[in-house]
Amino acid sequence: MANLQKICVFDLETDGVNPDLCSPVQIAAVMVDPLKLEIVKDSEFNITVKPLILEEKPEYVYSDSDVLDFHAKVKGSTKDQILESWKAYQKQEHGWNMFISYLEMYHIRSSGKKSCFTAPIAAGYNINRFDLRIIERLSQKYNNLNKEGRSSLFYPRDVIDIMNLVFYWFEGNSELKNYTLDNLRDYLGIDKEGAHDALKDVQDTANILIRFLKLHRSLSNKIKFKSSFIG
Amino acid sequence: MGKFFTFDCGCKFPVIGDNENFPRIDFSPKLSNINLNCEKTWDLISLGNTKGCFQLESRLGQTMARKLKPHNIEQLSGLISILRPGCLEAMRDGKSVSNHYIDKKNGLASIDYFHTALEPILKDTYSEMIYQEQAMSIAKELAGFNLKEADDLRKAIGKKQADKMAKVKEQFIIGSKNKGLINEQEAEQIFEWIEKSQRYLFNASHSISYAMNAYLSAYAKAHFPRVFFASYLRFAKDKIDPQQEIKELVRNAIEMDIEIRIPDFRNLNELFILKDKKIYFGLTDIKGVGNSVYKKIIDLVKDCDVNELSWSQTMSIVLLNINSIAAKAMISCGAFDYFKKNRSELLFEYEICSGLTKKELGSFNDYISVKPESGILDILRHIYDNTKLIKGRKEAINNYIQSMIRPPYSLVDKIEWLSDSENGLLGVGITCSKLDAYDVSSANCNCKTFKTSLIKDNIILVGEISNINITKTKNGKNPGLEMAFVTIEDQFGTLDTVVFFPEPFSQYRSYLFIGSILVFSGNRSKSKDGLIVEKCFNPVS
Repeated sequence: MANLQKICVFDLETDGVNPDLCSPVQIAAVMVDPLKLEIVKDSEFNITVKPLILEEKPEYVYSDSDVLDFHAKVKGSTKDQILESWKAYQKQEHGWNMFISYLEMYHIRSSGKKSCFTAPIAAGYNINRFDLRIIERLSQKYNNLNKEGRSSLFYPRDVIDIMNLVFYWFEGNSELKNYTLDNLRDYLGIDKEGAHDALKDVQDTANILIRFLKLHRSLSNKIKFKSSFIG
Repeated sequence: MGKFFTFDCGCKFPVIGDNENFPRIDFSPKLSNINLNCEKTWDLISLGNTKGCFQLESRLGQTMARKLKPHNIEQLSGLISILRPGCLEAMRDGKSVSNHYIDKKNGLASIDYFHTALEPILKDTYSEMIYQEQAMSIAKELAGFNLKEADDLRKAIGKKQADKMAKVKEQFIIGSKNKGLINEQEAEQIFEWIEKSQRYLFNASHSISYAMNAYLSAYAKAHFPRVFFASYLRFAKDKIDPQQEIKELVRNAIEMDIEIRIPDFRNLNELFILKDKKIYFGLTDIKGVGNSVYKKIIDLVKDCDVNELSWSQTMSIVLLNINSIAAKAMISCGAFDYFKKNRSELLFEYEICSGLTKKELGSFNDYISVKPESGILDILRHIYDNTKLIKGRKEAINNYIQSMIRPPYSLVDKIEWLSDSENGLLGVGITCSKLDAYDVSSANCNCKTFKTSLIKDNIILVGEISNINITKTKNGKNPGLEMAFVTIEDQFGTLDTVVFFPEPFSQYRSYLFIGSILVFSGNRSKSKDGLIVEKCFNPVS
């Protein structure tokens, strides 16, 4: 079986750590070509989005300042500067619509009809527990749903969470202390400059995914799976 | 005496009107006066270029026409008859009656009669029994059947009535014995032969009239290919799979050097049209644009000249007033390419504009009524600066402006997207092919030139797999092994005889899936119309 579905490696930077409550402040993505196993040229998506709470209450004060601290550290600025920049970001609905338009450009169209079954496969780092939950919530909010009432943004059958792949390959490896993307970057020797910018994160994640998929394919050709449980 | 337009083949048609530069030809042939010896037409049929020709348009029809190479109506009638299950399924010496007929017609097998008494009856069909009338004549000639009895024989066989069959068989054997031309054993054998091949046979009168119609359509295709394709494409919608029909017709037209164009909104044509020697898709030939949308569009533009409309006006007058599926479909397949902007960009601007409120659209329209050539960005700035908006909308317009200035994704049209969009919406890629994204310089022919060139060995072709038929070998060193017949496509045509014999098939099977773009290298098959693959690999992008 060959996969013709594009793989969308995406990441959301958010204003909180609870996926059921937080809002994205940045949405970034790149597409991986499943046949060539490379990042599709000019396929980057990057948009900054105003947190919903600031749309509703511009003077809102974040009680959990850890998140602001984190962003300030990453961007090398102050918490106030971060907050001010967030206020200037695009409205969530607009950012979301832009993301939908972007994803539509990468549907498989040869089959004619467009549905979640022609949509790209969702991929990313720790997306099962975090990013996809936000995607599902926003899909419900903006009514981007399939017939079953679930998000229609991505191909419903497959999800590639690179964190899972890392677990399979490194579960017995004592050198990798934990499975955070930062730790993995250190371990694999990937430059951390610009880390936690969503676009840099998806590019790194996509490159790691491509490595793993190439490795899988080269091994898969050499392994005799057929009837291997017999006898 | 009227003027005539004469083709190279000698066929003449009356010219209507006096314009010598653009002669209008009166093509209203009657079967009674049509030139049945037109080499151009027979060559077209013999090349298997019979897509759209009555009775011969299936893949089987095209292949058999290429194999048989008929050059008169009798042979064409024979071709139509051997395409039927009776001849295809009746096997003798491990070969179908259809193939016996082809080989004998082409001088590749000797013409032998089961009995000399059959010669006068089967002479015209190279000793093969391919018509119902022949079985009836045999019964008449050898067993002395009268016309009624012969017809009973036909009916009994056709309807598989065992009791009647037994009765007719007995009658046939007794009749043969009485007539004395053949002995009882021969009578039994001949009856069995009739029984086997007659089950689904065609009658000659029917077959000849079909052949005349097949010739007539091939004649039209050979002499007036543009009109032929434009007409057939208009009726593709009535087929079971319209998009597949369009794809096959368009591919065939391109192979015949006919220019096919994506829809052009300015033409406002509902269906395919022939304009300036080019065939244009109609607006309703776009998936997602139905008749009701088309009527609405015509109504929306009834007071204006669409050729004079700017992009912003087209957006305001047309696109924002029809459903978004139709609007996006028209943009994505290139109906507005004449604005010389990327389709991704047009689509992006449409997405932005479709977020405007009624009030904002009013402001949009006011602005373009004064400055019709304004770009969308200018219009949005005007709305932002001059329209009284609530705070949330002001911010939204500002977001649109920011996204127009710095789009969150690239608005360059990617080859794969263009090709996929056209394939999905029109049924076929016209502007480009996915292959354009690859380096195909190593290829020494393409799907079109493969059919016409004389290269035999070391053929290198690049194509996208559109169909795979996996089967098992019947003969050869290892019967029962899997092999594949693959259909590939490129921007020049289709090749449906790319063959992977068992060894290369097992080696490359992981490469073989629909949508895969590959370089195929190998040699021409003995029958000359196929490529026997030795190697295949991914092209460099």
